[in-house]
Amino acid sequence: MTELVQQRPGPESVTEIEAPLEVFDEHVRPVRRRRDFGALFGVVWIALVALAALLAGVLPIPDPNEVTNSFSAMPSADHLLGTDAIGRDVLSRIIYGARVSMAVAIGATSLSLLIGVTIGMVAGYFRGAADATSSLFVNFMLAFPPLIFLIAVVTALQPGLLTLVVALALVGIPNFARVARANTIAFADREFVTAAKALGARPLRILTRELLVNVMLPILSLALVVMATLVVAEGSLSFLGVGVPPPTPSWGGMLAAGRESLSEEPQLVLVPALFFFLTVFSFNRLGDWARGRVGRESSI
Amino acid sequence: MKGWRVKSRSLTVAVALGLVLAGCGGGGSDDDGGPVGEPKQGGTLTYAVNVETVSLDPAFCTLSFDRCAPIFGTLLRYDVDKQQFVGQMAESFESTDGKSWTLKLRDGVTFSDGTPYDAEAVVYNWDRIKDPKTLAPSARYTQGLTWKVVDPLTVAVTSEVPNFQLPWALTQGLSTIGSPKAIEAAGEDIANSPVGAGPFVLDKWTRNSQAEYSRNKTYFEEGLPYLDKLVIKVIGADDQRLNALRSGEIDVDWSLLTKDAKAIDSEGGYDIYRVPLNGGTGLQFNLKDPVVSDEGLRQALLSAFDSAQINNAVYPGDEPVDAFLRPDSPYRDDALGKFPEKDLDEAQRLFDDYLERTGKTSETVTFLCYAGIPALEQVAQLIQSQMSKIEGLEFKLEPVDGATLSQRSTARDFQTIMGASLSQDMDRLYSVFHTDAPLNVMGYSNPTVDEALDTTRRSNDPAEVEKAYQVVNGELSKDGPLRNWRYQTGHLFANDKVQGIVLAGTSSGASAYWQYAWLNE
Amino acid sequence: MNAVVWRRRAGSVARFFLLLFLVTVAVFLLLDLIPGSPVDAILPPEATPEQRAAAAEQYGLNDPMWQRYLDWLGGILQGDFGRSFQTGLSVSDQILERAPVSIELAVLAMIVALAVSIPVGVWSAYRPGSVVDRVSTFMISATLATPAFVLGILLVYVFAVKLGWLPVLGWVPFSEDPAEHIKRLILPVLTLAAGECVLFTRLLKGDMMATLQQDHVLSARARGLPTRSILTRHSLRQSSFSLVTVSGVVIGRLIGGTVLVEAIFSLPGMGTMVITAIQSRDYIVVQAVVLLSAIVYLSMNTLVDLSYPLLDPRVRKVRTS
Repeated sequence: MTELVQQRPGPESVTEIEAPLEVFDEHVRPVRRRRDFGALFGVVWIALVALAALLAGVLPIPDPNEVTNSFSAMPSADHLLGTDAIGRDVLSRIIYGARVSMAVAIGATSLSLLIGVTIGMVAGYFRGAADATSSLFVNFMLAFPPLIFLIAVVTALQPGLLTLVVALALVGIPNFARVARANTIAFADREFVTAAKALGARPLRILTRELLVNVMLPILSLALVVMATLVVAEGSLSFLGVGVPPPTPSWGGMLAAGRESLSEEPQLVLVPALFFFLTVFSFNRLGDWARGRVGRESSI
Repeated sequence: MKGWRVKSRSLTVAVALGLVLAGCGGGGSDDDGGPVGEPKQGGTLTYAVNVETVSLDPAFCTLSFDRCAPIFGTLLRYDVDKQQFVGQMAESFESTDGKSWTLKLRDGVTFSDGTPYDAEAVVYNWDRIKDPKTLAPSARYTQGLTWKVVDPLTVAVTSEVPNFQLPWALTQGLSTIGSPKAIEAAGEDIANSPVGAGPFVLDKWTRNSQAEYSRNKTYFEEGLPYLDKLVIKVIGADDQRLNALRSGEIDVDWSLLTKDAKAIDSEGGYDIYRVPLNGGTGLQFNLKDPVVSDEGLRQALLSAFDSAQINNAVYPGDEPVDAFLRPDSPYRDDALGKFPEKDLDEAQRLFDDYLERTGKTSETVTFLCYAGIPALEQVAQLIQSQMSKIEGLEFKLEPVDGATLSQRSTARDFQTIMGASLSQDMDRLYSVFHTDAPLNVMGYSNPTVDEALDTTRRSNDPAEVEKAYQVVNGELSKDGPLRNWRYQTGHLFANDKVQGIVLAGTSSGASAYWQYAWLNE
Repeated sequence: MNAVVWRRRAGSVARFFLLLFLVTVAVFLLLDLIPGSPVDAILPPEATPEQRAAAAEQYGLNDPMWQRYLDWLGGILQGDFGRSFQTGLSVSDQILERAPVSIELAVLAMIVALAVSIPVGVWSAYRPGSVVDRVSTFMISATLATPAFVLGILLVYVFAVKLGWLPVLGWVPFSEDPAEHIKRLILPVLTLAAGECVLFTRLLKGDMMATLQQDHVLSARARGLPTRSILTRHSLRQSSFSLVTVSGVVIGRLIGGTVLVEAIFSLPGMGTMVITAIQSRDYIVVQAVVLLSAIVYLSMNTLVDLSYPLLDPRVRKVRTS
């Protein structure tokens, strides 16, 4: 009996609590399809949005904050997607708003990935105290209701894009830490690692040269899913009025403002909603596709 | 189109002793044109408001007249039709010199727990409001006042300085008297257990949903209330309340929106009651700020301000704002001053002149505004775009949430801020614009205004008071310490079957004394 | 039972409390950073300096932070969550009043999600490529790409504004009008259930497909047992293992998760309570809600972990062999 109990993950870790979540990660693995048009669409759409966000300044569109006297106008030649309640060009605000979404998707995810992977790899490689500490941290983050955490952080710090990116990055850390840890553990016993150890390589070298490459594959596919999640989280915050402060346009903010006149001017809600949908859809399809690839490669 | 069936009353000041001021601006008769007949007993009236209140402690009632008046009644009532104060729970409140006041109570009035509604009870409640530990929002009203019991039905009130506007305090801030015995017994749970002598008793309060009242069988006014039950619901969204009225879920809707008044009026089947409020929501300047204290700079900003654009975009149907008080106010004499007209050339000239005087090449002004409330965010962005038309000026928005805004407003930690001065009574202007007054977050100080405001309290002559308020309005409009973009009007939209509504004005809009209402079913 | 088992149990209990401790300390620190004090939210702008002083005193705001934390912790250990700064009500009462709304929402959403995803997931796994499978795959992608606040508004637009079948938003207590109560719940529950539906269906389908390939299922098929029996008795039970796992986690998350849906539909639940509390600096309420949701989350995880062996014969075998 004693032996059996000890066969389960070491008592030093909080894997008891963590286990279900790992299971959850493993299982969301879709079947590969022959040709992934969804993923193709995803690449094109994300590229378009990212490009538009990048080039917003040089595109032939009005200033997103320029007020005209045609309020809540329907689409026309002057305003391809119409104007909002105070007469600003909706298309321009969508394009500038994409900057917020992209900053969150790329900025917050990278930051989150950097910290999460470091924590996870250190925990997975050294185990022992490092593992216990990082598990504690990960569970701590998970035990905090994420939306309440985000609202409190954003209210506490100066509201703005930077605050938002940092807060969202914090929320994303546990995901990366867990996957990085699991994969580090899986690879840590492989021959190439043992060989490097035998040759006297230092842990830092093993972690960066040997393990990182292998850990990064699943991490990158996870990153795409996290991007989708964080774009949604940013939208939720802006929707609740604690996102990027005005006049900076953001899709969530546009939705929240448009909601006030949903019955009279539904387009003010439907347009940003469509952009949210297509962007999140794209990230998800890309994520699925990448997971399919990773899954296949690791099974070879 | 059928005519506007609007019951409109302009609330003007009335001095004590029942003197009536010449009002104008649509003050009208009570009747709504339809045959009404004798009041009928019975039925349940459902009324919806937009926010929940935090407490039904009588000392907190200034926060929600709607929830409190049915339970506690008010000592005095301002009769919107006759434009004078009338006794409600109390019989009268009188003074000859504005300093010594006598509050006469009615004989035989009891709280719903059977204890007497007497001078001791009034003094107990007022002492409680004055005690800082109670944290009563209406504590401000007790400043400069002392009181004592003369006999069981008489309280003598002394004001440090003559103040003929004092009766206002007894219509709202100091008006709600709870049973001392019940207050003692409730202890910390006082917020939930109100016991008053008003027309209704509270049966059940489900916070953020509704408060249910039923007739107080021991209410002193003979035969009142007509209603068996009163339900006050909380429905946050304006359009949702309106739909609830249309669907018959509620009988009376509270609103501040002129466009909704027009919409519901064109549908027919409803009576619309209006209570115009004094003042409005606007852009406030911190006159102690080193930059914004410059008169020329402020005039430049005021000249770039375009309130018509704000109304058209955000509050369609509201009239543009061209002076501090609304056009139909009896206290407006445009010869004494209006807000600077929108004139971009003038704004630029004044601003360039400011730069030249100060030797600067550009200037930045920050506007502290509400975050997370779409309509107010839109207004802030419109103002920003208007101000940005001045070359060389950077007008920055700093959106913060309500609590932060309130803290920084009180601490005068802002350059310009989104603020408001709204009230049924004109006397609030004293607390907002008099030098060093408690609500004067702007640091505004104008000797002419101070003198005129002093007159409004000291004088018992309606003509003199009216003249003084006209001066105040003129000066406030010229100086623009609070440049409002919106006059607010409180509305009640009532289903045709609701009769006998006696209006009340509050700092947030319209309300009613529901004991007089009845259902014509 | 022996010492090792007990040590492990003691260890996990200790970690449970350590995590709670860390979460509560973090909430305290975080809330302390927020500008504006409860005094500004409680008192009107015209409050006198004496009132401000009295309020600060009354709410212990003059004490150092650690002292406030210890006072609060002391109260919690005695089952006293304190009194709301805003309403003066006991926080426990306030939570008891609000929690039923959130719980009802969460439980109904969970039931709807399971009711939809179990048959869909099982059938998709049994007949991959069938109409059910393809439609569900499409719906999953679509729902996954629709954030709750977008879905909520779209549902309102279609069913309330355009079709006029359902009320826009708001809450009617069951006791007052049961029919109306249910009508008001439909859209919020659908919005909340959509996300869980996707999760459950994907999970169940993946798991079932794996299970259906296992020896005992194959042999059951070979023996000619009816499909229904194979799917339910032989496969679903085993596959429900991950479903239960995730359900537990989901329930734990729903306390925080209903925040958005409550805000979209203005429902008087714990979510809107906590948002209002943050806005009005009613920290004592925020602390209580965060503590509770952390407790629920951590307990759910532990419970789920304990329930593995009951559901999955594989785990049971390992443990007893």
